[in-house]
Amino acid sequence: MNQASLLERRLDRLRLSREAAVHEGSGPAGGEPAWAPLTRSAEQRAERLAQALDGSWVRGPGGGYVRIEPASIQLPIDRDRSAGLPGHPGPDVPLVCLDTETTGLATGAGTLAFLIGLGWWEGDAFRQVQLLLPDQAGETAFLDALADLLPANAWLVTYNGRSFDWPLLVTRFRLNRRPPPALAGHLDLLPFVRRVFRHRMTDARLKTVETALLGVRRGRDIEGWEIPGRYLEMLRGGPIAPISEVVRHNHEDVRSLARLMAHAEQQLGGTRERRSAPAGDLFGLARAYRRSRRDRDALDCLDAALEGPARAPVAVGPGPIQRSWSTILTARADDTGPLPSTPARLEILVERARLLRRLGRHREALEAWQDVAHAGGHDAAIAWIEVAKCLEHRERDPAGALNACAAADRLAQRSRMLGRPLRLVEADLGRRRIRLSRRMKVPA
Amino acid sequence: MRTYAPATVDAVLDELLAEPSMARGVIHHELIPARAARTAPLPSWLDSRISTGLAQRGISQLYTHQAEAIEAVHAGRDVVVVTPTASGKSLCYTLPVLQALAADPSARALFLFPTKALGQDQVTEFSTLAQLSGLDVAAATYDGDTPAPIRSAIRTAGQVVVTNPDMLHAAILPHHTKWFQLFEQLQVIVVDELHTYRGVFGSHVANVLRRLLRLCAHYGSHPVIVCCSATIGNPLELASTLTGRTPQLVDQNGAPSGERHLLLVDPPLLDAATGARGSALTLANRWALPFLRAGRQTIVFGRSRTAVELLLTGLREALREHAGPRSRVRGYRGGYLPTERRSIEQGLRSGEVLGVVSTNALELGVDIGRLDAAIIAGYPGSVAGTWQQIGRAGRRSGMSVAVVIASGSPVDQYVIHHPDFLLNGAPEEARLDPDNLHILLAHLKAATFELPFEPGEVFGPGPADDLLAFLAEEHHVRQAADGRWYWSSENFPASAISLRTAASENVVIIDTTPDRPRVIGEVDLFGAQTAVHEDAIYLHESAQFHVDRLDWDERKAYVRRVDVDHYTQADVAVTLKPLDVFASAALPGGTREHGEVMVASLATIYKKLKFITNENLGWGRIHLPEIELQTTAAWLTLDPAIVTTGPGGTWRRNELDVALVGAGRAIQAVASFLLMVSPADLGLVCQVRSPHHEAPTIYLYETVPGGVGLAERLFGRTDELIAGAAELIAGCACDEGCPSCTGPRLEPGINVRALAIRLLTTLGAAQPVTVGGGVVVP
Repeated sequence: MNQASLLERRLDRLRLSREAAVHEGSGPAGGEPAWAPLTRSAEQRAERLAQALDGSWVRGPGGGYVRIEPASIQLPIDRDRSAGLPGHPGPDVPLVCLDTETTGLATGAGTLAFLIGLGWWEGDAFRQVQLLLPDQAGETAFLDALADLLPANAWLVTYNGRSFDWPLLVTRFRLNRRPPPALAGHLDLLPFVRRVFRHRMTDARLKTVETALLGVRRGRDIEGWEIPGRYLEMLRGGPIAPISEVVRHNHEDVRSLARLMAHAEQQLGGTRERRSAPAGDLFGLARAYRRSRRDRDALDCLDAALEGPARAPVAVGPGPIQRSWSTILTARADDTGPLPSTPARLEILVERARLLRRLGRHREALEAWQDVAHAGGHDAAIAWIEVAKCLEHRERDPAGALNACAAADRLAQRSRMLGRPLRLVEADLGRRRIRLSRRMKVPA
Repeated sequence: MRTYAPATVDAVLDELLAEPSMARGVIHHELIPARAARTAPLPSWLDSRISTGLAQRGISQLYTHQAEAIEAVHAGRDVVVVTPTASGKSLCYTLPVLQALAADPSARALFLFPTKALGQDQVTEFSTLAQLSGLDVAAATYDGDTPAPIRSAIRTAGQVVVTNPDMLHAAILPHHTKWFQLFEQLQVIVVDELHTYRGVFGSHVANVLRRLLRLCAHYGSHPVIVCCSATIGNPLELASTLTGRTPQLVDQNGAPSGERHLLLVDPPLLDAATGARGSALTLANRWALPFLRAGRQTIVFGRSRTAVELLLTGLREALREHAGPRSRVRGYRGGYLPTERRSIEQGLRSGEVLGVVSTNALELGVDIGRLDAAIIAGYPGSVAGTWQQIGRAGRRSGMSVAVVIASGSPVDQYVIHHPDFLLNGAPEEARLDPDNLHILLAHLKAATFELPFEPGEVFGPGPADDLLAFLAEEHHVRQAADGRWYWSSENFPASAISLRTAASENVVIIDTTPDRPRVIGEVDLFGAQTAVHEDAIYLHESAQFHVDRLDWDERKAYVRRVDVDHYTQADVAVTLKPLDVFASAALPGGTREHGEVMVASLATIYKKLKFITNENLGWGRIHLPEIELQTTAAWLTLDPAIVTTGPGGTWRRNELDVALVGAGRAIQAVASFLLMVSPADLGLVCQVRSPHHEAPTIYLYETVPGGVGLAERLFGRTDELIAGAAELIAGCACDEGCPSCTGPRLEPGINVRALAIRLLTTLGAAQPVTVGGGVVVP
C-alpha cells in the first residue's frame, strides 16, 4: 500500500484513539513519558558536545546548553578614538559583540538561532563566550543565559545584526514568552563597512573584510550555507565533528567584529591616523559623518583625503569568478558585485566645497569652488555658478560674478555643441546673467 | 413594449406577461409576499458615542437578527449570522468591535474577507462609523498592496486589521512574533462571506484558522469568532467545521422586504431531435430591456466573463437602436479595475447607473443597494447562489422581480422544471474537508514552523503526534528531548502552500509579446495539459494568445498575443484504477463503493473550433507526459450477470457503452447540484469492463488531489443520485438523448435516453414516466 492511503488509515486510527481518550479520560497512562529515551540521548549528545568542544554542559529546566569559553586574547582598542567614529558609542559604554548561527535565512518564527557567539573587552583582553544549543528543548535556558550576558547599559556590536541576528533573537524570546533584553544601543558594522571600505572590496561580506582589511586568513573554514544542514543533521543523530567547525567559524566571526572595531579606530579614529588612510576610505567616512550631521569631522576627512599620498587602492576579495552561486545566494551582506569606482580627486573637491558652504565658511567655499572650476571637467560649469553665487551674495562683486557666469556659459555652449546640452545650467545662467546685468547698470 | 416613459415594476411585468411569446416560456411564477421589519432597541450597554454615530447614519434601532448577534458577541459567544444579501450583516460585528475598542483601546480585532476588494470596502465602512462616533480607531487593510512602511505601523498599532486568508497564512502567522500586540489582545475574529470557504479553499482556510487559534492560545487571548454567511443549507455545520468551535446560529432575518415575483423561464425548444434550445442570453436581454426602458434599476447575471460581454453588447445595441439609456448600463466582472468597479457600485447606489451586467463577482458582499429587477441568464450552479443573485432585486418596500432563465445544460433543465427544487428545497450544503491529508499535512508543517507542538497536542482531527512522526521521517520536523515537536528544516513551509488550490505545482503563463515578457497567469498541471499545450489558443481577459512553447519541466508556457477566429479544445484520455476501498455496500443490480483511486490523464489531440459556429477547422497532436492524480472516488459497479440476464434481456456491448456514458453524465450533473460543487470538481470515467471489477463501472472522482470528502458523500447518497439521474433523463424534452440530459450523442441511431433509463432502472431507479417530443413534465 502506498504512503498516502497508509496515512489515511493512520488518521482513521487517530480519530478512534481520540474518541477512546475522551471516554477514558485523557493523558498518558503514568510512568515515564514516551519521549524519555529522547531526553537521555539528548543529554548524551550534550555531554559529548561539551567534551568535544571543551565546554561545559549547563542543565536548565527542560534542557540546557553548552557553554564554551576559549582563552581570551589581547586585542587592545582605544575606546576614546573609537568613540569619535560616526555611529559609535561613547568610550565608557560596555560593548558586546554578537553573532548567531541559525537554521535558515527565513526570518519567521521557525528559524532557530542555535549558536550565539559573544565577545567583550576586559581591559586589553577580548573575552569570548559561546552558547550552543544541543537540542531545541533547552532553548529557554539558552536564551536566559544570553540575557544574563547582556548588561542593560551595553551596546550590541554586530555585522548585519540590525536586520538579521537581533530581530531573530527577539522572535525567539517572544516565542518562549520572555521579554527580549533591552539594548542601550546597537552598532551594526555592515553599513559602516559599506560606506567606508566597500569601494575597495568586491563585496561586503565579513570574510572579505578579514582578507581585505584585517590581514586575517582563516585556515579551513566552512561556507555559511553549509551551517544549517550540519546542525540539523546532528540533531537527527548525525556526527558532532561538523559542529565543531561551525563553532570555530562563529568564534572567528565574533573575533573579527572586535578586530574590525579596533582596525577602524586605528586607521581612522584620529586626525593623525587618517593621514595614511586611502582617500576612498576617507571620502566614505566623510559621508558617514555627514549622515551623523557631523560636518566638521566630515571636512577633516576630506582635507586628509586631499593631503594624503595618492595611492591607488587595490581591490581585494575572492573575485567574481571564484564565487559560487550558493555563496552569493546565502551571503548575508548581499551586495556582491563589481567594485564601485574610487572617488576622483575632483569629486572630493566638490564635496569639500559643499561642506564649507554648509559650515558657513564662505570665503573658503569660494576658493574651493574656484579650484573645482579651474580643474575643468564634468562639474566645472556648476562650480562656476557656485563661484558666481558666492561673489554676488557674499563678496558683493557682481562684475566678478558676471565673469564667472561667462565662464560657465562657455562650458555650457561647448557642451551643447558636443550634443550634450546642460539644460539646467543654461536655464540658471539665463536668469542669473539678466539679474546681474541689471544690477551692474544701477550706479552704486 | 417600446415605451421609454418611466413605469412601475408591476406595469412592466404585466406588459411582459401579456406578450404570448414571453409568457409561454414561463414555467413557474411564484409570488413572495412582503414582510415587515422586526426591530429591537439598541443595547443598553452600547457606548453613547456609538449610538450618536449610528444616529448620524440614520440608525436608531436594530433589526432583530442584528440585536441577537450583537448581544451574543458582547457576551463572548461565537455566532454565525445567516441572512440574505443586504440585510445589514456587517453591523453584527462592527458594533461589538467598536464597543470593545471604546471600552479598551488596546483591544484588537481581525477581519477576514475572501478578497482584497471586500476588505477595503469594509475598512472604509468601519472607519466612517468610528469617525461619526468620535472614536479614534486605527483600522487598516493588510494585504499585498500595503506599502512596507505602513506594514510595520499596522503590526504594532493597528486595532482593526482587515486582511484575507492568503495574507494571514503567508505573511502574518509565520511572523507572529512581530504581531504579538495583535495576538495578545485579540478579542474578535470576523470571518465574513463564510459561504465562500468551501471545497479546497475552505479546507485550507479551516487549517489557517486552526493555526491562528493555536497562536492566540499561545499568547493567552480568547477571541470570539463572528461568521457571516449568505444563505446555505448548513451554516452552523460549516462554521463549526471551519472554526472548530460551536457558534450560536442567528438566522431569523428581521429586515423588511417588499413583494417579490420570481419567474422560472425556459427558452423555447428549437429542435426536438437534437434538443437544441434558444439562447438563454438572448432571452435574458428580452426580459431585461423593458425594465431598463421603464427606468427600473436592473441587474443581469451571466455565468461567465464572455457571457457578460455578450449580454452587455446586446443590451447596448438594443438601447441605442431605440434611443434608450444606453450609457447607463454597465458591465461588472473580474478583470475590471477596482476603481472602475467602485464607481459602478457607487452609481448603482445613487441610481446614476440604471443597469448592470455582472458575473457572480457581484454575488459577494459588495454593497450596491437594492434593485428593481434581477435577470439571471443560466442557473448559477447552486440553489444558494441563485438566491444570492435573486436577492439583489428587492426593495425594502415596493415590488421587485427576479427571472431565472435556464440554459440547455442538464443541470439547468432539471432545476427549471423542478420549481420545488429552487423554491422549497434546502439550499445546498457547503462542504469542506479540513482533514484532507494533503492539506492537513501542509498546514501542520506551517503550524510547527510557527510554534512547536506539545506532545499529544491536538491539531484538527486529533493528537498530531502520528502525523508529526510521519513528517519527522521526511526530516521536516523533529521531536526534541522535551517531547515537543520542532520545525527542523531550512525551508519556509508557508510558501509551498497556495490556499486556492490543493496542487502546489502550477504552470506559469508568460506573455512574450511585449519587449519585457510578463507573467499573465497560471494554471494547475491538469489544466495545463488542455489549456496551454503547444499551439493551443489560450484566452485571457477576452484576448487570445497562441502558445508557442510549453516547457513542461520548467513549468512555463510561452504565449504570444494573436487575433484569430478560432479556439482550441483538447481531448484527454483518462484511465482510472482503484487503490483502496474505504466502504462498500450492495445496490440493486450491483454494488456501490468509495475509496482511493489513481487517475491518469493524457492529453491526446486538440481540435481547432471556429467561434460561434463551432465548426471544426483541423486538429493536431499533443505531446505531453501522462499526469497522475491520486484522489478519492465513488463508483457504481453493475453485477456482470445483469448484463446477460437482467430485465430487458442481454445488453449489446455498444448499447451498454452508450448507456453507461449517458447514465454517468446524468449522475455527474445530479451529483454537482446535490453537493453544491462546480461540475468541474467531479470527473467521470465509465468502463464497460473495468479491469479492477471485471464488470461495467461508473466512477465519479474528485479532481482535487486527495479529495475533499465529496466521494464519501456521493457514496452516502447513491440512491438520490440514481433516482435524480433517471428523473433528469426522463424529464428531458428530447427524443433520444441530448446535451441537456445524457450528453452529446456518441453514436447515431441509438436511443441513448431509453438505454440510460433502462440501466438506471436496473440500478434501482423507479420506472419513470418518460415524456418526449418537446412536451414538458407538468
